[in-house]
Amino acid sequence: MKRLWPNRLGPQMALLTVGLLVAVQFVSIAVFALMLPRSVPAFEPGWLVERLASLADGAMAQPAAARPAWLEAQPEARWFTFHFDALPDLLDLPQEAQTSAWLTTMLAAQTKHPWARIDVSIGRPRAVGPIAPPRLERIPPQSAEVQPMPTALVFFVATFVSPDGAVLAVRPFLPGRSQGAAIVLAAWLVTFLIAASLVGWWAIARIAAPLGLLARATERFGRGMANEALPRRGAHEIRVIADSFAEMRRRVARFVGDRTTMIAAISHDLRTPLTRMRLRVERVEDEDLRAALSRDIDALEAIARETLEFARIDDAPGPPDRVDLASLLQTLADERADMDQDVRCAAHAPLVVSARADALRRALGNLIDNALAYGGAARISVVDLPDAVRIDIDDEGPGIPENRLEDVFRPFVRLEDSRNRTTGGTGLGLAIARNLARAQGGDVVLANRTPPDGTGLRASLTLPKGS
Amino acid sequence: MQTRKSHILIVDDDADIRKLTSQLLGESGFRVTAVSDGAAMQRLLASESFDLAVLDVMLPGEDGFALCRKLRAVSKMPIVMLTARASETDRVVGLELGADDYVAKPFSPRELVARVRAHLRRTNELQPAAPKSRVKCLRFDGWTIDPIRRELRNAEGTLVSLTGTEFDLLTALAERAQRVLSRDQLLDLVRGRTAHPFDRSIDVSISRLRRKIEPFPDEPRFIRTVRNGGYVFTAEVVPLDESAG
Repeated sequence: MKRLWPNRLGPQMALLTVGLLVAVQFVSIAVFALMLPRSVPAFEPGWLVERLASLADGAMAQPAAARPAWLEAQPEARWFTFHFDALPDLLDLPQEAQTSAWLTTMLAAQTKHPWARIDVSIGRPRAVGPIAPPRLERIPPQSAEVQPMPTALVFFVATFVSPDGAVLAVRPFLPGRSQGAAIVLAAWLVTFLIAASLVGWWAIARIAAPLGLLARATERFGRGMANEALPRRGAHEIRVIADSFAEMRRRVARFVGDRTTMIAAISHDLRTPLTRMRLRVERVEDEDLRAALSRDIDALEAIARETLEFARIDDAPGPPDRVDLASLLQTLADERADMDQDVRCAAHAPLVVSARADALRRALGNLIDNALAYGGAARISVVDLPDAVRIDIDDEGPGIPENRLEDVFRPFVRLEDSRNRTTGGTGLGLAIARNLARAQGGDVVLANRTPPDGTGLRASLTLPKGS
Repeated sequence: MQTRKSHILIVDDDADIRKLTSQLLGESGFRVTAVSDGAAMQRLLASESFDLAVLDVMLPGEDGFALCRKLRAVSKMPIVMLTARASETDRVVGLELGADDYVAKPFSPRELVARVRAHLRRTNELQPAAPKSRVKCLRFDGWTIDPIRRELRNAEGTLVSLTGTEFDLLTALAERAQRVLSRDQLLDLVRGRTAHPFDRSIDVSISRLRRKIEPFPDEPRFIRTVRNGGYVFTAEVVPLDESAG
């Protein structure tokens, strides 16, 4: 079974489609064969005359009561219907008078019983439903004298009247139209259509499912989320893609891992000399020199700390937590207000989000510090959207040229006019904030505010509302 | 107050840092003995007694965590861990092993001195209130304080953020529930950790704290003001031995 099912996506789809078509055809044929009236046989005239004569003679040899049973027992009986009294008018004219006369003559010659009357009528059956109208094919007349001969008879009524008055009428068996056949047929077809569609839908969904899983894994990897196991199922092509994607992911992970380890190691190793410098600078007698050195050490320390933080963002993501956003923002604002920074927080209503608390704290802290460093003030507000929460941090600075709004998210990128270190920052704050937000399925974007909203830069952190 | 100099043990493998830290603490009025590894520390412990230990985490041979565990098994002295790694996990591991404080390198010398002083003062003055067998969590009225992770959760398990000072204040009050603490006492208890020149007064921090934890901040149920006295934490506090999270 397993070996019959093709491995590749193309053959899988093709086999499925062909299989369904064959099944549809097969079922249609079966339904027609079982449900529709059989077609009416056409009789060869010689055979018909001989059979009718022998049936009529045979019947007459039986006692009157036994005739119906005897007739039904004959092998030819399935072609005919017998009547034992005057036949109702079954024929629509025009009658084939010449052929009728010819048949009557032939029958009279063949039969041995002394019939009082023999009569054969040929014509169109009246109201018998879905059979093909009788068509009498004729051999083309060879000369004017020769009587045209029917090659096949479709419908006739042969009436034999015995001298004692017994009547035997024979006509072809006409299968009647079964009641409700059309409804049954329609019901069958609809049922089969639904069944075939369900099977087809299920099968194609099954074939496509690994592709969907792969697509999701790729998408999540692209967004820098945790590496999940890749599906190794489905058609050959899908497995090949999954394998090469997994291989690519391993390479990327190894590459990033090597770089990250290196950056982390450098930043980490800076800490010991920085510690010594911090301790040594205390011994410097000259106060101005000591202050200057301290500032330099602060700057070096900030670079080491933020680089390490940036390099380690994917460390131990940890599960999301229930975090009260209002108290978090209030805390971030208070900590900075205590240092005489111009921060105001307009988020008081408790709002619980699902997030990694430390990551959210650092991301928002970076955005607020950025607003304070470059915009002189920070105004924090929260917008509760249907499927996300947006935290806006507005500053009152000059903003950023529209074409540079994305550049500032790149690590170590700072705008030229603010490249001096006195404004603080290492050029990593926004990159760290965005990475932290994206690692939780959110994002950070910057926009310049336009006059109705005041002027300055707005940093917006969105967080999806988790389950 | 001090009749003798407190004796401080330093274990750090970096000779310069050892020397500089010894100098720093020596000049701050402490007697200091510094060694480079765990074996030397063990030898020293046999003959000397100490009031506080400063342990580096990254040591050759046995690391600082192992030394912390050994030290805690035989002594209740405050232990301050020094580390070059600032990760939260390290901090939690260190504190769970029985360390009292955790200082990330590169530390500010003043901060180290302040913390050492605060821990010594706490062991001397408030010993009975802060039993050395570490309580993992404090519970009051559905709220949970986790002093190691420095987290506060409400009855629904939601993380409620506090500033460092607010957290230290809440912990100090909850650890001494039903005891009236003066502003000076609170300042002392809080200052060790977050010595900050811009720290607002205790009153400002208390009122912020009330806004975050009190159902009706204007009629506080948990933190009551005692006229001319200070503050008292009136909710019933239940220490939890097992970490509630």
